[in-house]
Amino acid sequence: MDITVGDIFIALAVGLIAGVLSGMLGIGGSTVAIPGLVLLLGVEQHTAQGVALAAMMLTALVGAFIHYRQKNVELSMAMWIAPGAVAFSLLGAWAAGMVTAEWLTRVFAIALLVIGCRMLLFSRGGQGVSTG
Amino acid sequence: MLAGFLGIGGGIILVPMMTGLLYLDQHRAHGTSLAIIVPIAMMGTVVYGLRGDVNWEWVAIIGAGSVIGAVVGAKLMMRVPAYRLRQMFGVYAIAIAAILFLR
Repeated sequence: MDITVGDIFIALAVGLIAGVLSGMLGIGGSTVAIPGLVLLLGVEQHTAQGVALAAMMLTALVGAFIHYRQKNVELSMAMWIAPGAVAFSLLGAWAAGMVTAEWLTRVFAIALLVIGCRMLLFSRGGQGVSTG
Repeated sequence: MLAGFLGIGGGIILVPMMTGLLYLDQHRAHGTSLAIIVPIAMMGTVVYGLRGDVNWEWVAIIGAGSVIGAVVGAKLMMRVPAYRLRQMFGVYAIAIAAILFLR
């Protein structure tokens, strides 16, 4: 498909927003990039996911490097979580095609809702901030 | 550790797991989460790339924006206090939960 100048500007803006959120919140940014690509730029869902992953790889690499220099990366912890996380992501990609996906999405959404509310309610004195 | 699950990025699970279960402080949890996302995204890119689902023109454009954004975001994080980061992450998690419910 042809990419117009307008598309380039929209894509840059989507990337920029995803990137700032990524660097700031420690997330990949694909939750912003995928809907941006699909809804605003008309990219097909699977391609959008592939593009978001590739862009996320670069974004996370640069973001992690900056965080590392700012002493915000626990390298030893990353080392022992990463293999499991990679294995689970492959498992998740494989399981995503199964019938239970819809049900799992609901459970996952509820878990996120709880996590989100907890973060908001205990933003000043939650467990995570106590150790400094 | 259910990263990449259902096509959702790992950070949304990794960050609360590290602050809640491993007692890591908010700033370091965000930085460490990003470092863990690198190999996850790498694997994903290989899988999607082999299937021909990666359009590199779009990657170049989106990537240019998001890499610049990541530098800004990572530097900006240092100026944001932990409680504010938790609030932002909370809003983000609830927003994603809402989207999941509605889709």
